[in-house]
Amino acid sequence: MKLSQHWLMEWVQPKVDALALGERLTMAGLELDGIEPVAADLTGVLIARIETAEPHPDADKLQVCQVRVADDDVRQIVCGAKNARPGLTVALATEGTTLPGGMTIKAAKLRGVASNGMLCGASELGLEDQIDGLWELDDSLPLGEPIMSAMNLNDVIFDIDLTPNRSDCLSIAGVAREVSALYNVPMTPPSIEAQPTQHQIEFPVQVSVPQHCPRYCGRVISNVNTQAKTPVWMQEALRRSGIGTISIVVDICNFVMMELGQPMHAFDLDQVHGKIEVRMARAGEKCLLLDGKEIELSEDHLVIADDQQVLALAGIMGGQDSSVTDTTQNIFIESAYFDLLAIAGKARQFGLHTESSHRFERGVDPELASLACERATALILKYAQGEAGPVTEVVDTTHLPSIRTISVSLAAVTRILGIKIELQEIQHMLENLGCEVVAHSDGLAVTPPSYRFDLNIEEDLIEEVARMCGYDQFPTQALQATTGVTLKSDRSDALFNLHQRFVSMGYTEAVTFSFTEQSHCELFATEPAKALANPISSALSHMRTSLWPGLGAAAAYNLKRQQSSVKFYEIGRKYLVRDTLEQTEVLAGVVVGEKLPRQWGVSTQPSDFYDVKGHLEQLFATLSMTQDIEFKPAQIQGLHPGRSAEIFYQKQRLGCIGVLHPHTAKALDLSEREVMVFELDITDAWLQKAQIHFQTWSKFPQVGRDLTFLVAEDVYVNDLIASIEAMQIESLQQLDIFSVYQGNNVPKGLKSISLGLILQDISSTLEDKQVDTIVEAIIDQLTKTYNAELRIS
Amino acid sequence: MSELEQLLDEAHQAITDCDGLKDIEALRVHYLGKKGLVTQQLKSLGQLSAEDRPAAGQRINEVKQAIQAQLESKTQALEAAAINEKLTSETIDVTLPGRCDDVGTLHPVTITLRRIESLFQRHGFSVVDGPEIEDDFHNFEALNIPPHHPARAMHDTFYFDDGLLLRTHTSSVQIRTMQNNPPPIRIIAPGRVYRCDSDITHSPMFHQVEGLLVDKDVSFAQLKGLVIEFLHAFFENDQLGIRFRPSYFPFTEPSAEVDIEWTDDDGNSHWLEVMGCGMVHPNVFSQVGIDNKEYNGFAFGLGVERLAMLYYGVRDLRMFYENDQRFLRQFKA
Repeated sequence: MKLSQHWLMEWVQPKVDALALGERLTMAGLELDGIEPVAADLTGVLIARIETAEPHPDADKLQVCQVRVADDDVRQIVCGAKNARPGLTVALATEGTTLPGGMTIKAAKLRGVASNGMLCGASELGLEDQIDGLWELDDSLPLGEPIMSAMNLNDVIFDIDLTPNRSDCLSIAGVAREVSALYNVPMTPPSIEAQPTQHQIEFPVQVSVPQHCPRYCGRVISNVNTQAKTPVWMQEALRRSGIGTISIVVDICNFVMMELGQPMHAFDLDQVHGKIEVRMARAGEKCLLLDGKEIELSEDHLVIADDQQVLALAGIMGGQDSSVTDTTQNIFIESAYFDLLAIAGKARQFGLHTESSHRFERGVDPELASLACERATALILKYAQGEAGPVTEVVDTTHLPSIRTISVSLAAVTRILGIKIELQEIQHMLENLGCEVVAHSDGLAVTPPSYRFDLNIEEDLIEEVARMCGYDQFPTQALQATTGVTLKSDRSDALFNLHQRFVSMGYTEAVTFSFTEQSHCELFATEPAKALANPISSALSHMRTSLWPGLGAAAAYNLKRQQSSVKFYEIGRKYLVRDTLEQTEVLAGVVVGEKLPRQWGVSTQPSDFYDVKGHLEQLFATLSMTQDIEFKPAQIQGLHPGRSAEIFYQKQRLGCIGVLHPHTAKALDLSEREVMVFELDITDAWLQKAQIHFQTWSKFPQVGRDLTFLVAEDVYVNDLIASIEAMQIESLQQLDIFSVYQGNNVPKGLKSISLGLILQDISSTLEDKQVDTIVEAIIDQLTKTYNAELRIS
Repeated sequence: MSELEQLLDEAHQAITDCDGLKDIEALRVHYLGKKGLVTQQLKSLGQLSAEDRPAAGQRINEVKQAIQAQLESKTQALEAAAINEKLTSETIDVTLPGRCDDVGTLHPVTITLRRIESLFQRHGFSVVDGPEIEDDFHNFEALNIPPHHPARAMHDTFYFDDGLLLRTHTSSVQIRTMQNNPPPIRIIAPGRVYRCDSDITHSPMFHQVEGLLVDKDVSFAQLKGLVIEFLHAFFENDQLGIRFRPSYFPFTEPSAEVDIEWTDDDGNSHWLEVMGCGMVHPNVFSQVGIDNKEYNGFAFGLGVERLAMLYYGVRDLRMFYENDQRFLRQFKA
């Protein structure tokens, strides 16, 4: 909320400068976003009046004006503004003045005519423009006075970021109350008196839903001059509050809202038929709003209506048909208390957010309506004439917010805040905030003022005490240890271990969005992706079913930027809609490009399936999982049918690895090179492994034997190994594949596989004969099972 | 000069002149071998008289030892020379780079999260986790944010058609923790959170860490102490200016925002908001069935990217999610 310091100072006068005041407000919970001067330094700009304006002899668009600055001081100024006319009070930049734009005014000749200064528009003075041309000032301003003082431009604007609980501060009065309490200085509000009635015309008001509108005040003001000009001081007050000038009646309504916090509305009475009714809308009813938008209503919208139609969306925005215009003569002004639940969220449904809805959604003082009505009436009578009728007030006290009394004990204050403070001091603070306080032996009975919706329980009042003391006044205290060491370390520690292992294998961690475009979700999943109801864009519309699209996009992004390789991994969730919604945490990766950084002595070579598989095997080895891991050929959606595998750990599916299918690669903009991907489900089964048990080893010598076989090329090496392992040869300690070869000397359709056996007995040295028996058994097994042929080298 | 002395002279000269290990061996055989010249001299001792024999024998042995010593020292010298020559020939350019693999890096958000986690773990906080697709109850209702609360509008929530939503804060994990664990509770909950907002300072996905402590007689003063300790440790600066100012969160009362004093590039000092915190609201305790008369507590929440940006001097939030290697590879921690 924007707030003029001068306006605030009319209400309360602490003896501090603007910076200190802003700081104090911030530290009291009214956070200051900024302090801006209302205007730049405008020394040299004076109030003046145009006496005569004659056409320039040599220029169509210029006028030669005689401008009076004092009784004995008339200056000739050449001016191009259309609205320059005799009698107009204007801002004159005199010779030597430097304007905010940097221009310094000098005496000059314009098309041969002498000009001794410049008449200014608001924008030339660094102010927001209200109209085209010269700034039209109030005729009552004294000629020759510097504009800075005449227009109160020494003012600053506080921009306060109010939290939603402090709707009571959405006005000058509200902030003044706060300042008064913080500095312990009295308030000096303008006196507001009931206006004498000049006629007895009352317009019927019917509140059909008192639970949503417990109070409705209104009054008829007849014969209003709706063409009257809004006084410049009021225009300025509104401008400094960030509110534009519209017309005298609307401006007064806005002024009272800014001053007191009561949103108000004025109807053109001659456009209202029968009565004013506060009711719920009927389904399908329409209303053309002031902003020109027609909205369709439903039964949960609170409206102001007459006998014929909906006049306004209550507490949010008025309708066009009954709005006050230049030709309006008789008006009905509304000052109501709408229940916040009836208004909350409604403006948003129509994409609206108004000063009025902002206040009603947060809560308006239920006791303020008639005072605000009187204030607006007084201003209208003063500046737009008219005759006021009596105030019509419809109240249902049963639905007004209840008056509540809250107990505060000294013990609770001390316990929660950890400070020592006298009960009397607490009482004084709360009274300063407008509470009624009754002291008893061990505490206080506190009745908050009607505008403090946010004070409901003891803790709320303790916070008020804390605010008044200042949070910085509290001591700090050390925590007491009451929780012991947990049995297991945090899961996040194990996760971090995974992170570090991937980093040490040369991977870079990426973090990609959890949502992506629908077509990307469909690349790797058969299940439908969960769609956001309100996505930020169609590229981020569905919850990811795989981390690969995001990682793939990240890889493509980098390859396009001349990076020769990408090795990305990410740990995060994917979201699958199955019987239930699954939010599975996975570790996924994408690898593409050069296997090693370019360097001397090593030929460049792209990464392939086995490089990536090797990384996973290295991970499994470091986590002692190797024995329980299996890679099985698999058909995986989106991957190369001949280059993908599922990974099993202890017979449970752990994840998968593969090469992107060319179609998928194209969809991800990764067609250039072979792209490897992998994914591991992160489960506690392997993340937080069981304890390691030490095992002893044989002290007898090892014997090594190498065997090379020819087998059909479609035989999986893993199956050969499995078939040897199935023989359960006790002394077979290790089995390596040290060569796989196809080409010269190997018949087509076959491949050559070299196995290295390491044999060792736990209790004796193996004899050659024993070794031969084992080796022959293995040869026999492979020959029988896989038609393998031993190659004699 | 006797034949023996002449032999010694010759041997001395020959060994001195010798420049190969093979030649040395030949000289050894020539002089000291079974049929060597010195050996022959010894064999000829028998022809001498008994009186002359001891003195002559002694002299022959002296000559033998002298030749032997000279052979040995020459051998050593030649061996040393040979090794030196070999080593010289094996010299490589040690300034050439070694063979290397890529150096991996952690994402700065992960590094920052880890730093935050370990700082709180030292205080006995456990790290816990919760779902990202949440229900209204855990994200709002139980946190004292009923429907139509204006705070909801400020959350810019992503919704699904079935009424579920993407959690807007990690505070939802507070509720799940308190529902399932009796006090005392000390947890932090790091994770991804979502708001439908995107510009230079907002990302639709970002990270928060929620903290919760529930115990007997917990005070605002303790909260303040912990927060100050944490911020000092995180920024590795125990002189860091920190201030607490009143704020509003529906699930805490009293509530505070925490600012740190920060000097920008122009040397100007500002207060920057880094955390929100407060005493757990009694309505939250009643939602999860904890007796507020026996227990109370505090909660805090911090924005991970915000802290990472300050710590590393990153200006543009969006860089965290572009995954540009030129950015990511700077974080070799």
